[in-house]
Amino acid sequence: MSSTRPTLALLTRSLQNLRVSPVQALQCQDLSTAAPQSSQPQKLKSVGRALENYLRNARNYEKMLAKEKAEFELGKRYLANIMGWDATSITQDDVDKAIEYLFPSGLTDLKARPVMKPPEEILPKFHKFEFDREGKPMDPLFFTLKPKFYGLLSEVGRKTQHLVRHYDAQVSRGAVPESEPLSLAGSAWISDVDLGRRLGENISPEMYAQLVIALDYLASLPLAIEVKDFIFQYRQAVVAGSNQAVLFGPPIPEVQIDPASNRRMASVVTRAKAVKVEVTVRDAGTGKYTVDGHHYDVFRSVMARENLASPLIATNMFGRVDIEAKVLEGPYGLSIVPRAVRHGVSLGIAALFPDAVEPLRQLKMLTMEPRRKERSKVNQPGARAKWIWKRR
Amino acid sequence: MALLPKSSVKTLFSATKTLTAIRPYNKAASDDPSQLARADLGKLYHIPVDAAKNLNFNKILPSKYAKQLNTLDECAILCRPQFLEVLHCFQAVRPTFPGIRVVLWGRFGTGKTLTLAQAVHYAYTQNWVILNVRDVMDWTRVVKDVQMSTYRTGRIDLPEHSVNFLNHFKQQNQHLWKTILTDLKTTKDYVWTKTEKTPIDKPLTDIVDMGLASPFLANDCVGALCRELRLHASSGALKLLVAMDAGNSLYGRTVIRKADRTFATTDELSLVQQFRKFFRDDWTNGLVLTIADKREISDAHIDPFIPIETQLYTEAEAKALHDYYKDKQWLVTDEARSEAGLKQLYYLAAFNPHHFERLCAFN
Repeated sequence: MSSTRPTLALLTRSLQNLRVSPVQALQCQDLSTAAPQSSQPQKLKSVGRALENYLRNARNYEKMLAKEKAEFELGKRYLANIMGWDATSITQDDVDKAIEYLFPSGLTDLKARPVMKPPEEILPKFHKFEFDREGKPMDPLFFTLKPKFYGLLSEVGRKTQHLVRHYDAQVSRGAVPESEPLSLAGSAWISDVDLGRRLGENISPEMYAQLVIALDYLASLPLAIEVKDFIFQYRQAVVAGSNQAVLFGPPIPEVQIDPASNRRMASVVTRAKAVKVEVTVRDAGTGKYTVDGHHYDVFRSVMARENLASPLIATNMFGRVDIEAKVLEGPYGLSIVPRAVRHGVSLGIAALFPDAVEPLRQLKMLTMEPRRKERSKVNQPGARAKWIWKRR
Repeated sequence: MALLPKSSVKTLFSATKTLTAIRPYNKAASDDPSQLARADLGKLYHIPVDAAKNLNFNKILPSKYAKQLNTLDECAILCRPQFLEVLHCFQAVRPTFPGIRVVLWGRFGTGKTLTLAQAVHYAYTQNWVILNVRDVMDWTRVVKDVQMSTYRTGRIDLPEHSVNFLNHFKQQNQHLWKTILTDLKTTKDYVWTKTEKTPIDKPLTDIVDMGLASPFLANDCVGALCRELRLHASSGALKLLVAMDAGNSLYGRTVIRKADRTFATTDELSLVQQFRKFFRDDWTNGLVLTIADKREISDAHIDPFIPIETQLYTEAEAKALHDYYKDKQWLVTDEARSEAGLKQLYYLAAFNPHHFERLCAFN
């Protein structure tokens, strides 16, 4: 057949292949007869292997995350089907409870138990850096490897410089600037852990120290009040008088009124090792002290009775309170119930008599004993003990 | 005139003070247990040490108290409500009533054995004949030599325990040996073996001596002695106290094995059968005082009886003892001697007399 006039599509396609300027191409009259350009098609700028890998990883991560998200959503619908819920209104709380019910686990490490959460929370995070078309990083501080942190440090430096210049300018004019000093009372610099989380970078102690030095200097400058907002972004409030409420273990309980006898009482559930006890302390008492219904002289060991009576001795509450303790969870040995009951009694007395809180706290009776029995490991007789080691 | 040293001046002054001041500790009005009344509750009275020796208190008192007796060379006992109740029971004994059965029961360490010892001493002062079993659980749980009874087939004799019992009886009734027990005579012939025999109208002490001389007859002698004492008590010639610690063990379990390696029951022990007869209504003029020991699993049928509960200490009782220990310089630390110390000891002991005594001994 005779050669037809080249269509526009063919023209553009050949242009793309040749990577020549369209103007040059249009100047050709007859492309069918036009010889292929002598110069090879211009290749893309060759990128470093590291960047190639990074780009590949980023793409894969995006794909994987999209897939996991879809699976998670599908999984939630399946779960709704199993549990008989409405598929449209499912909260993460519901999902957690359902998983705990369907996959009961006795594993001691809570992080090892089965979990169904959105993939962003569980899967390892992939930090995307921003690059332009040519592969140059957008962030000028990219090559510091911690761009956000050094950006912050630079910001602090810039502000410091600005304040110093401003002050010097005013002084040179003869007007000493009067401004109220910046009050940093009731707050502390953001902790290194929190800062790391906020910036999304791992901050070493040395780096953190440098930042604190810089911020301290900025805050100490006479015109620091001008940058108050910036400084307070990096201050955390320290709650005054929080020692009272913050206890490890159950807090000091609320005082209630016993409806039967109209006396003030405080009830608390505490633990020690594997034993859970419920202790009720009542005001206006006669010194009654029962454990599981038995008067506490059933404890033949002096140490047990010392433990049980120690809160009374510490606060001199002999005969003023009635104590009733009940063991909720066993099994238990001989000496552990008094320890748990003692903690409960201390909390009860602290609730009923606020003056007693200080002496009890100083004797460390208000804190729960956090220790638990350590797990025995394989190939060992116990948790830490090893078999007798023989050199040969 | 030489100047008196400061220390003696001080003691002079304090001596004059104590003459008018309160006594060092709460003493009962009289040491005679028969004079004790409600006014003496919470006060200490003394048992003379030679009486304690005669009554073999070393063996029948709780071990810790016996040691304290030896150390302080004094036997001071707190007068508590349970003892007064026991005294009332003593006073109720008469030839027209069958043997009054009293059971002491209560928590660990509240004074059951001590009250029994007090009762034994009271009987001693009133010239009663005392049949005191130190611990019935000894018979059922401590297996010494075992012998099949010749008196009844299938019964098991415990010769060593019987000899110990007869020795104990002899020692506790030494004050009556030459008088009542010799004056009262056997009511029938006792043919122990083909050769041994105690004829009628011989003093009761002969039965005891016979048992002590020949251990293999001792169990039968115990039985004979019990029978004779019951008969003479019923006739009014003597008043009898049968005091058994862990008496509920008469209806409990034994550790004694028979020939076929099964455990014997208490029904098969002749000592137990002999003492169970005291729980019958066929004799009078006596008091049977037992302790229901928690250590024993038993199913005792001794109705009707008077139960007397022993209680934990009240604050006043603890104070009385605390003052006594202070007076005897038994408490070591200053804190223990103080009022606050007393409170702490009382609550640490959980009001329990046993725990209180142990704490006072080590503080």
